[in-house]
Amino acid sequence: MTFAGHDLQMIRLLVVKDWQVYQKQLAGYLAGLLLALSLIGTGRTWSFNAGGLLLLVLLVSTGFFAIGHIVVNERKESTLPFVMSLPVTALDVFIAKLIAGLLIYLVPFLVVLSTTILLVLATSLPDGLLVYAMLVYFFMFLSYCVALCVAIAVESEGWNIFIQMALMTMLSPFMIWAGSLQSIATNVRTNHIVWSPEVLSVFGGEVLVTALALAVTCWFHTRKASVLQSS
Amino acid sequence: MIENDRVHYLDNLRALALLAGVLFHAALAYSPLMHNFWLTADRDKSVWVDVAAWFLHLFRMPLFFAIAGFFAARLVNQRGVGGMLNNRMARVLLPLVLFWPLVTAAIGWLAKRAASTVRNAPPLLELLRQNDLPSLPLSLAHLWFLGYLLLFYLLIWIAATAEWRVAASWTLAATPARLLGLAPLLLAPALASVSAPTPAPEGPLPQLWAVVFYGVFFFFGYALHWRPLLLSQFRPLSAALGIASLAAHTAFLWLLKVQSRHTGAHLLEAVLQAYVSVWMTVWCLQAGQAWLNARLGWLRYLSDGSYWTYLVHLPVVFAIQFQLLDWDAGWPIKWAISVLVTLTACLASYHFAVRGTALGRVLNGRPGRREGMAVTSQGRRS
Repeated sequence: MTFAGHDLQMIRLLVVKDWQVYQKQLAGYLAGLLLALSLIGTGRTWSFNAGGLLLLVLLVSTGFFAIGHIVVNERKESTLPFVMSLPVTALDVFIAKLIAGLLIYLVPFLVVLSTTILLVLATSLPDGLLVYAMLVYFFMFLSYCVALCVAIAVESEGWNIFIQMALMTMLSPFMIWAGSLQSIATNVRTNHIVWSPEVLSVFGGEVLVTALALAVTCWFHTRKASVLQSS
Repeated sequence: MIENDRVHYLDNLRALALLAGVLFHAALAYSPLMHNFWLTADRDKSVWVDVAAWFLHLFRMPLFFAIAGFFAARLVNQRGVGGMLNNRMARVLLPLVLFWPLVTAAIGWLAKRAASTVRNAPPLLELLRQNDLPSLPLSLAHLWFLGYLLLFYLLIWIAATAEWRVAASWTLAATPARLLGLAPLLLAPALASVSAPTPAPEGPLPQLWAVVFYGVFFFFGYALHWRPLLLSQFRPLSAALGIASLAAHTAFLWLLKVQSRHTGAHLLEAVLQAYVSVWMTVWCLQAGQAWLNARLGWLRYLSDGSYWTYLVHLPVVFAIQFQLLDWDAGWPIKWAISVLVTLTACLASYHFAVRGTALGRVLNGRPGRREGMAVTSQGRRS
């Protein structure tokens, strides 16, 4: 089955291949996430903080290892020449990598996101925290998308590590900056959920950067004649 | 005895455990220990309710989880991990999604109505009446066990995918002496981390102590499927387990009565609870295998209606007990009325409105497959 010149069946197989290759690690991360949620659910201050921290660390490391596993390692282990032997275009491989990368990250990401929403809205935590948490989570998603796009587009392992480390390092300053936004600072400890224009513009910026990263990488791959052609 | 692919003693045990669940929840209204925390707490209460109800509480849910674990292993054996998950999504997740909002809305509505109509309001209802408690906290109510079952099914997938066989090999290598003597000591820290008697982990997120405590019973049941002869090894100890459990429970109640604030006392309470839970669960399984391993007509029917009954019984119990709060009668009469009316209402509604309908098929599976494949739908009923 083809769509706009792409072999959908082959793309599906490549996505399933990446999913299956990464499944073992994903199972480990899910176990870690369950532990983190159980610690948060225990309700004591120390366990809540430990669980919350574990949740964020696992989310960041899930992304880091997912990219390493399905993109970087594939180059190092010379799996690409094998993929080349399949009847696929460079763009098909790119699309499959993108879908697989997003799928693998979205499973734990959505677990964490939905848990946070439930936690904030259903417990005694201030509801105003929700807006701040959403900004931080979408920044993490943005970081992952950018890192994934860079990993797909840039073959240098050094650059990939640099970009991922840089994005991870930016998380903490972003959290401080987002927390200092006036509508966040005013409402984060109250039960008011306020989507102010400045919050919405930050969200807009996050969406824009994510879309831009995906579009640029896509454009970059449409210019490739073969899978191994470098820029 | 396995007939038509049904394991009769587990079917029958499940039906009795269901009955125990209704008895237990109806009894909490007359428990001095729960007087300040239960919506239908009655003026008339008795320490004998605590003695019996909390003894039941210590092994009722552990037994449920052990049975659920057994049937999860059976499903994995028959359909693989993926097949087991698909089956459980339909039989556990779907009922949770369908019934949780209905049950919590019904309980919330009944409580608000009772707060404005009942003259002899218990402390919790009084708080609602005075608006000190603006709304009931988000809770899975008595359906919390469905959430934990889903979590344990997910853990089976995780263990199978990540190829973690360490825990399984420990369980499979365990001897009866180790299981009965050492396993409770491993459970004690989990119980020591919460108040005694153990509360229901009904919050929206899993609680670590409950994951550990009920998880051990679930995976004990899981291992039991692969070691069918294990249970018979406990048979010589059966009488001793029952007597020792009663003695440990007596000591536990004495410690509760003394109300020592010493950490050592709380740890000892946890140890005693853990021993009673393990010993009585094993005793029930062993007794079930010895005495209930046959097709018993009334228990079989109760078994079929048990899932529906358990899902909907709590709002029914509350509806009846709110009416009984202002009635001047002794607790045994009120308790008997609430149990009998609840069971009659639940089983009658199952017979006339659920069995044979689409909902019945969701809960019990397709009628044609109920006999042959019933084993696949047992675990969810705990």
